[in-house]
Formats: sequence, C-alpha cells, structure tokens
Amino acid sequence: MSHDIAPTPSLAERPFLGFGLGLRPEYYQTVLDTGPRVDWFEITSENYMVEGGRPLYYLERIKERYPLVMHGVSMSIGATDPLDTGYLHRLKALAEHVQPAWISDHLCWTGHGGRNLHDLMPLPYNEEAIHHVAERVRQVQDFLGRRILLENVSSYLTYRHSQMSEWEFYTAVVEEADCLMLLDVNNIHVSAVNHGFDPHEYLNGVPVERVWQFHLAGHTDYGNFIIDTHDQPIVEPVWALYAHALDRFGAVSTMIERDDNMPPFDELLAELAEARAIGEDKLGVQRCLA
Amino acid sequence: MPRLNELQAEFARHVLNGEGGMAEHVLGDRGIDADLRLAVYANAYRARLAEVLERDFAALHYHLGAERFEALAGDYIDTHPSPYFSLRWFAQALPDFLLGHPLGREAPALAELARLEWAFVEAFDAADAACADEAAAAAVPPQEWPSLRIGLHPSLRLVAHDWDIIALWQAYRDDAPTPPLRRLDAPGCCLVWRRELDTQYRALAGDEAAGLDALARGGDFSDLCERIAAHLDEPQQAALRAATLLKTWLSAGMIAALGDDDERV
Repeated sequence: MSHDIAPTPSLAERPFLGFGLGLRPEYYQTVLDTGPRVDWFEITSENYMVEGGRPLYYLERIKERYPLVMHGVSMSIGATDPLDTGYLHRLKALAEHVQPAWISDHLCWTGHGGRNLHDLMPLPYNEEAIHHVAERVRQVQDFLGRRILLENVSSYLTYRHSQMSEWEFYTAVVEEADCLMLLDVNNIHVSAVNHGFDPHEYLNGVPVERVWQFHLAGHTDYGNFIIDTHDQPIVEPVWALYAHALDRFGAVSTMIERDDNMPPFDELLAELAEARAIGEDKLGVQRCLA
Repeated sequence: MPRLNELQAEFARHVLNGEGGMAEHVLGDRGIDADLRLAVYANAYRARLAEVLERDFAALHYHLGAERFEALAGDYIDTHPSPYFSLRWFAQALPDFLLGHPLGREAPALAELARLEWAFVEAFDAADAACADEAAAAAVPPQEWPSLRIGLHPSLRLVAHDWDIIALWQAYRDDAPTPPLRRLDAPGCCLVWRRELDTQYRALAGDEAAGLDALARGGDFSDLCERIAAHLDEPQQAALRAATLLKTWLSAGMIAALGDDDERV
C-alpha cells in the first residue's frame, strides 16, 4: 500500500479532547476576551480558506489557546465527479497551519457535473456506493497523510435501491476505507424519526474503536419531518441517546454545533455544561476535567 | 438499479431544474410520498442560496423589498448554479446579472449599489498586508520619488458609479426610507477598503479617484501626478496634491508598500 497510515485504529490511540463547541464568528471576541471553559473548538474548514481579514485573525489567536479540529462540508466524498484537488490542496494547507487534532467531513455527496448543491446529499446504501466512497476516502487519506473522520448526515428520503441499513452502510464504508467516524447523535435521532428505525440499534451497530467524535445539535420539527437545522437547543431524546452512546463508546470527544438563531454565548456554555455533566456521570468526573 | 452516477445526475437535475424522474428512485414511505421527500432537498437548496444572496446584498434587499428581491434571487439561482466549493463566491456575478435584469434596467442605481456591496464582501476577507506609514514615506530619497512604486492594500476596491449609491447605502444602514434615486452631476467613485479588521468606505473626489486608479494599475508616483494633474486647474500643483493625498492614504492604512517589493519598507 502506498499510504503510511497504521492499520486498524485502537482505542488506546483515540484522543479524548473533552467537551467542545463550534467556533462561530459571533463568538470570536467573547472567546478571546473571556477564555471560556471550553476544552476545544471545531472550526468549519471552508470558512478559513480565505486570504485574510477577520476569520484568519481570530483563528490565529484562538488556535494559540485551544485545541482545534477541522470539520469540512465540501469534500463531496460520495460524489461521482472527480475529487476536487484544488479544494484538497487548500484543506491540506489549512491543516498544516492549524495542526488540528483531526479532520472530518460528511458521508454524502454535495454536487454533480461541476455544480455544487451546497447540501449534504444522501447516498444509496448499496455495494457500489460502499466501494466507490471507500476508494475515494483512501485517496484523500493518502493525500492528507492521515485518517479522516466521516460523519453521518441527516436524511429525509430512502432510495428504492438501498440494500442495507444506514449503519450497516456507514460501518462497511469506514472499515473498507480504514477511516474513523464522527457520530452525529442528533442526526441519528433525526433520521430515526424520519425513517422509523430504532436509534439504539444504529448505535449498537457501529464499531466502537472507530468512533472518535460526537456531534450534538438541535433541530426543527416540521410535523412530517424533523430537519437538522442547528438552530435550537438540544432536545431531551438526543441527550438520552448521547448518554447511551457514552455507555457504548466510552470517552469520545463531544461538541455542540450551533449555526443559526445564535443565542448568547452563555447559553451554549450552559448546554456544554449539561453535556459535561452527562459525561461525568457516565465516564467519571476525573475523566471529564477540562 | 441505477448506477450511482445516474442517480446523482437525476437528483441534481431535480434540485437544480425541478426536472421529474427522480421520484421513481425514492420510496414514498411512512405516509409521505416521494415528491414531498424530494421537495425537502429542492426547497432547502433554493432557500440556502437565497439566504446567501440576502446576506451579501442586504442593502439591495432592503431597497427592493422582500418580494422583488426574492424574484431577483430566484432568477439568479436558476441561471447561476454554483461551481464553487464554498458559498463565499456564489453571489459574485449578481451585480452584473442585475444590470441586465428588468429590475436593474428599471433602476440602474441598484445594480451600482450591488457592486458596492460586493466590494464590501471582497474587502472583508481580502489578503492581509502590513501598512506603510508616513515615516516610510519620509525615508524615501528625493531622487527616487518619480519612479516610486506605491502598492495599495490588497483589500482596496474602487467602485465607479453614476448614481448616488452612498445615499442608498446610508439609508439602509440607518433604516431610513429609500431616498429618490439621484443621478450624479459627474461620475463618482466610492473607495472601499479594510482597515485592520473593519471594512471602510468613503466617497472620493475626482482627482483622488483618478490617482488611486493609476496606482491600482501599477503606476508609480509620476503616473499618480499625471492623472491628478488632469483634474487640476493648475497642473503644476499636482505633485503637492499627490503628496497630500498620499499622506492621507498612509494614515488611513490604504498603502501596503512603498518602493519595489525587495526594498519594501
């Protein structure tokens, strides 16, 4: 094999960063001024693929004070268009600068025929898609020289030709690609409601040693659907599912995503404290100290 | 079973153009039919892009009103599928598009306003550069002045306009009613640049606009003086005026370099 990534990740090499938040422009100055008790921040990679100005100014200062991970939305790992090498070069350059604990993106496709839909489009759960995505993940990992994390997305439809459950598909991809998992607990809840599966079955169906990060977020209930909007507080069923996830997966770095309807920063800190309290309950207080 | 490539092509056509054919690949389950499930994606696509346009052209949205802006956004989204990996660049063709759009033909001032707003977007995250100061200018030996290169800050933009777009911008900022669209007596130019982290703008006098334009084209101090002279009743005053303007520019953080790159101060 051309890549130099060690085979099969073990739990011993899984870092535990603690409890983090998404770094958003609304909170840049507050973060610098108050040095909040946040163990780490997740940045949206594309927001820093710019030439200069405010985003890079704050990135520079915040990365001196907090561990960062990079989370992208544009890799389009499941697309059938060629991989965007221009994007990957920018991603690699940003990673060299930021030195993130890891890099993640989504198990989805975001465009076709050179046209970007700017959305996390679902893949059909079948053999062709497994091999296609896994091969592309291997190419990306070879290029970046590291394993990446792939996140499960929320979905609102089921393809007629899917041949397995989402978690079987997800597991097959990450094992064939030898990559890691960013488990979005809210997305599991959203998809479970939208498609009528048992979210616990999902959690119990993915391999413990590959899960390196959790996402928590809020969503919007439209009656027919729940939509993954990241503009509301986390709901009780998601907290409960998170507690179950900690039971199964152990000390996995956890962060809260909030992207719209931004509350005062203190409200996010309070939500993060709730996550930490669940973590302390499940993992022990010592394990969860900032 | 469709190949992955065909499935994605079909889905993309559905989202981009509303073309049928995708529904047969989707289950209508749990009491929700395939068309409604697909509509979640198609609607989200348009809503997301419209939101970007509204964010980047907030003053245009303010003056056009929600309904007309929505119509414009819809036409733009239909004709400008995004080739970009990031939404940062999606809206960049809107000012030109508006020029040729019925709403822009009806009110060319609004197309100029859109160009001003895009200059703000560009200035916001343009490259950083250390700024030269007055001490750097004072250190330039007299004989070097004529051929002195004066590098503008990378965020600096010059927005030429025939209409009073600054009044439109200020009305938006102040949440005031849209003023009558007024054609200027002479062509105007609005300067946009980023000073440290904050985007700034101001109207330029004719000679100042011409001088900055000369520098934006890579001109030196002589070119600057020449362009300024064309605007003065007494052209022999050009060097003095150029020196005065340069001092203003230096103190406003608009000048990134004096001299050649290898002797940058």
